[in-house]
Amino acid sequence: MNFIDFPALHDSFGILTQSYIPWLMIVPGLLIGLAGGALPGISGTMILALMLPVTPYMDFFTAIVFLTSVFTGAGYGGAVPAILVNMPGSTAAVATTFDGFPMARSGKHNEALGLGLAASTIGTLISYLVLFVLINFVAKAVLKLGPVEMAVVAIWGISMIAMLRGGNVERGILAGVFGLLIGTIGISPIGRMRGTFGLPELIDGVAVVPAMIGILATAELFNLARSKYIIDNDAARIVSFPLILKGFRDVFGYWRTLSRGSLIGIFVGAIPGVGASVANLVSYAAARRSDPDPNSYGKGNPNGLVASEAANSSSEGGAMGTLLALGLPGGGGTAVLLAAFAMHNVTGGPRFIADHKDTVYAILISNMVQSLLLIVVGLLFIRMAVVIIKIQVRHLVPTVIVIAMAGSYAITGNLTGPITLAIFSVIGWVFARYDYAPAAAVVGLLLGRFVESQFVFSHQLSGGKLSFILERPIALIMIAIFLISLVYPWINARMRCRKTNEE
Amino acid sequence: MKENFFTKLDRWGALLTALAIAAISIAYLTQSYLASSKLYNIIFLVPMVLIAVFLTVIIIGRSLKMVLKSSSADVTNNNPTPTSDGKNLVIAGLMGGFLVYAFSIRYVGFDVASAFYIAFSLWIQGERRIIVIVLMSVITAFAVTWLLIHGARVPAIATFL
Repeated sequence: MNFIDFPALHDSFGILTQSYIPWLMIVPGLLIGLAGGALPGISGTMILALMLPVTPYMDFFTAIVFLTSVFTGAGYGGAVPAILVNMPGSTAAVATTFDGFPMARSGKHNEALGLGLAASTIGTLISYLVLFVLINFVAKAVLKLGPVEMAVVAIWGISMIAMLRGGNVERGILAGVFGLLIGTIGISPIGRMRGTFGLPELIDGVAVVPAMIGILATAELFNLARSKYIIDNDAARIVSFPLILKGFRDVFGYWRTLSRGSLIGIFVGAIPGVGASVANLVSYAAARRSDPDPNSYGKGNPNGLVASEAANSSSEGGAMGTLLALGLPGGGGTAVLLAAFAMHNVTGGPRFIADHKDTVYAILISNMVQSLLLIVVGLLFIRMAVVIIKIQVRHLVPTVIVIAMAGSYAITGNLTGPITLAIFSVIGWVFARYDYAPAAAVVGLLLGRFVESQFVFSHQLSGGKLSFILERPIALIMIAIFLISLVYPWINARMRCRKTNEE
Repeated sequence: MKENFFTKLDRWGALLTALAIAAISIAYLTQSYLASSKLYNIIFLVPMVLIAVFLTVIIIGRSLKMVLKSSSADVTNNNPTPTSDGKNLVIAGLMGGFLVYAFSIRYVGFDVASAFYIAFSLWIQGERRIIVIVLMSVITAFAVTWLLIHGARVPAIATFL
């Protein structure tokens, strides 16, 4: 089987060298994405959506290069606030906060930023290289995933989040279930209003982005109250370019985590509807589980940061694969790209690959160039972004809260956003205080409708017969992996306990 | 350590949270069932609510065991890391103020509400320089409001909002 179509690859160089305009779009796109991703409360999807009106004035290839540059920049941009203020720019950077912020708190913010940038760029590069070679194969593999498999993958992701931070597993899972339930509020699959309790603002469901910002971001801001600086140690607040570079170089010491995270990201990112928000958490859980010292995670273990950043960035390549191969968006970011396709009268999917292989290769090559340029642009950007840690906490807290409030207002266009943000900030604080895994609640909230629709499709396909699952080997394998990952930590803990007793 | 309102609340916090989640889940299911008892309206909700209730029972059992076992002196061994009363008050103030801020936008507008919230946050966190409180609250609130209004019309500016 020929993985690469060389005549089409040759033609792609013609597209790449036809004009310099697409190349000029890369650096501004990366900077816009980095700035947007780094601003608390602003997601990569929102930036992409806001940039969409600019692209009709560009030709198709230029528009896609520009938007994917924004996408790539935002992928890493989200890690900057995640590391510095424990505030993920998007759900894709949730796991980045777990060890990135503790590293910053211990004065290793420079190394953490460098490490995150390296993991992010290498993860993106690996994903596009793999996609370049395997695009036909990926298209066929994803086609085999039905609603049962989709539902299993999503629930698996939420369970992992509930378990991966240690502590109270039952509280974590309850938070995930709560998120799933809240995520289904609004119009039901049969067109009835559910859980709105008479509030018209809830007909379209809970405003997900403000709720997410509230649970994950503002709750942590409240806890910062009465600290003078985000980083207490005066010496640690110094921005050091050599230390950022050191962190960047150090990534090669974590090559195992990096490559595993990148592969997980590609696989999970290729599954429509799941994407980076689950990829970073699954990768983090995998890194923690395979580490001889799992208890060091959540306390500033660089492996956790690398696992998360490599996976969320590489999921971009996986999602692009699904978008190009099937015309299905893997998440919000690729949904905007799909809209850009439509604005240029291009339909992604098997026909697009068959008829425009040269364009597909040109897009993938330009994406690889973007990830390389992200190293330079990202390093320069960090120099500016770390100014945030020099601001006193009492000045930072209200400023960021007001920006998050404005972001929530802008997203919903009415007061639903601000009110949702405020209510979910309190919920997030309570969850964090009593060890209820806020991240599990957020991912549940994001995937609630998706999982429910997969439940309904599965029931429709099976006619209500459970034996239907036995006819789906991929689903069976996934369920087995899911059950093993549920039971394994418990067995592992028992074995360790027995070993300690014997000693 | 003498128990005050916050430490008492902390002892029962995990249990109360689980109860609240279970109550909300059951209320949601009931309301959905009343809206329509058709299978596809509740096919996903029923198992999820059952799981939520089951987990709540486990959490209540464990939490009660811990609360009853622990004396007020060793509360800290079983409950969240205690914070000073001063910090608790600041957090409570910031959260309460945030709720008031969100609901007051409708009546006073985003700019005025934001300015008041910033001023209140600065004050509650210990800033006592009037000039800093006034300048920061007014400048930040109006800068963010300007971007909110005008930024949305210009994509390049909206990006940085």
